[in-house]
Amino acid sequence: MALITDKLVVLDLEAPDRHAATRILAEALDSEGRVTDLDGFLADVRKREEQMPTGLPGGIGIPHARSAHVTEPSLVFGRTAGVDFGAEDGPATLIFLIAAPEGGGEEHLAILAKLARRLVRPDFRQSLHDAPDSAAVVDIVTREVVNQ
Amino acid sequence: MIVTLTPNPSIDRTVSISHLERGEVHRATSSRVDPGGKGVNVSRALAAHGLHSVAVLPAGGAEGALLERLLTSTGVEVLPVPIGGSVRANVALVEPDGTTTKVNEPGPTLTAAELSSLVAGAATALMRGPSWVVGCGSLPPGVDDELYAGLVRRARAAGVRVAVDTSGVPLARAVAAGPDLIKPNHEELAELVGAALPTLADVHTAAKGLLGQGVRAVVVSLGRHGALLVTDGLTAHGRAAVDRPLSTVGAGDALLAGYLHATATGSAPDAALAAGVAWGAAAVGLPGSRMPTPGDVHGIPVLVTHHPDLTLRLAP
Repeated sequence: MALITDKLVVLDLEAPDRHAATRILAEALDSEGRVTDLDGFLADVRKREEQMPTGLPGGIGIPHARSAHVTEPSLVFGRTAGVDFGAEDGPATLIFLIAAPEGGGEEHLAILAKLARRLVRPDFRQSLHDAPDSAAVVDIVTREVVNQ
Repeated sequence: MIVTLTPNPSIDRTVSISHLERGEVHRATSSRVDPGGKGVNVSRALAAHGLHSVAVLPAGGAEGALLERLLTSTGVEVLPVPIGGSVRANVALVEPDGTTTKVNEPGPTLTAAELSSLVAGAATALMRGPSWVVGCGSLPPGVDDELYAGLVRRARAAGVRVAVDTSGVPLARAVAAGPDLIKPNHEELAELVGAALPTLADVHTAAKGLLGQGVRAVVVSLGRHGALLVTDGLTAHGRAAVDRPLSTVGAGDALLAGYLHATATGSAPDAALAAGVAWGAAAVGLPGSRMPTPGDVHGIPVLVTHHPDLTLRLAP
């Protein structure tokens, strides 16, 4: 199963805070049958978030969790006008929710490593801001991150 | 896995010549190129021991591409942050008697956006749950003195152990943020506390004072006098004899790598000090900034004492 599909892209994400934003992205996973217990998964993400803020300089948020409620390694992308993820330099406009099954070994770490190599490139971030539709986002992420 | 942050890495070219004469053309008898920078050296020492490390660094220009290639080929995972400037190229001219003349570039000026990407790169590496993150070396022009202090705060919030090996104002700021470990050399410690430290007792007192400011452990590298570890309730002095010293370049970085690796694999602080001193001594026995392998470290006898001779006078 693909890590990201056009059903796992939310281009006009509107949420008052990071928990609401994360819930909207997680609901996409739920509709696709990739989580067995939405609230259980969200609790795991929140627990991780409490250990370490997942907002990065440059307008990035990476909520993530390895969770027993996840059935497929998945990446959900959200684009917003700005949601606070705890970064010092301002709100996140590009949000990546990484979901990995509990027994998934090092898979989510590999996704994080690949994503990190691209997120430090302004041209990659800009291409996601400019993507006209979900299919374009899936193309970019598949090419630049998944198949890196 | 251990993450290293090197804000000002380099490509180090070592050129051997028969005799240096100002204003003359010289014919090189040999030359070699090595990746440089303190954090880069820590990553190389870990890789030489088959250990996974991620080197976060700014990479720009032909030198940046070369740096990335050289590091990757030695087994270091590189997280290159693209910059508009070029990674600095340092040149060392070495004469047959070992006299070395060095010319170091200041390094490229980083823009605010590039610095922000560098911090983001380090932060994503922290999310991977490393056993240590370590910030090393000088800061390039344009980078705020708070960089390492910010790294310390971020790592502490993430529950990741954090070490800092730098000097001057960036070190003082990092100390205020409460790192798990700092590894100054004698001179850097003296600068930090603003006093000459002629004896081991003075070094000990200065290091103890830093514990009071929130630093969890201090390892002071003392050149041929080994290293002094001061942490809560424990003082240990480690020394090793080096039969044939070839180059002290990078020895402190090897010492730090050995210490970090040992603690990451569960060693007590004094055993980690012994490992660090052995790695450092092995590096002194290798040419240039070559980092020691297990074969180089094996069999180096290290003497660790918990009751060091505090009257020991240290060379200035």
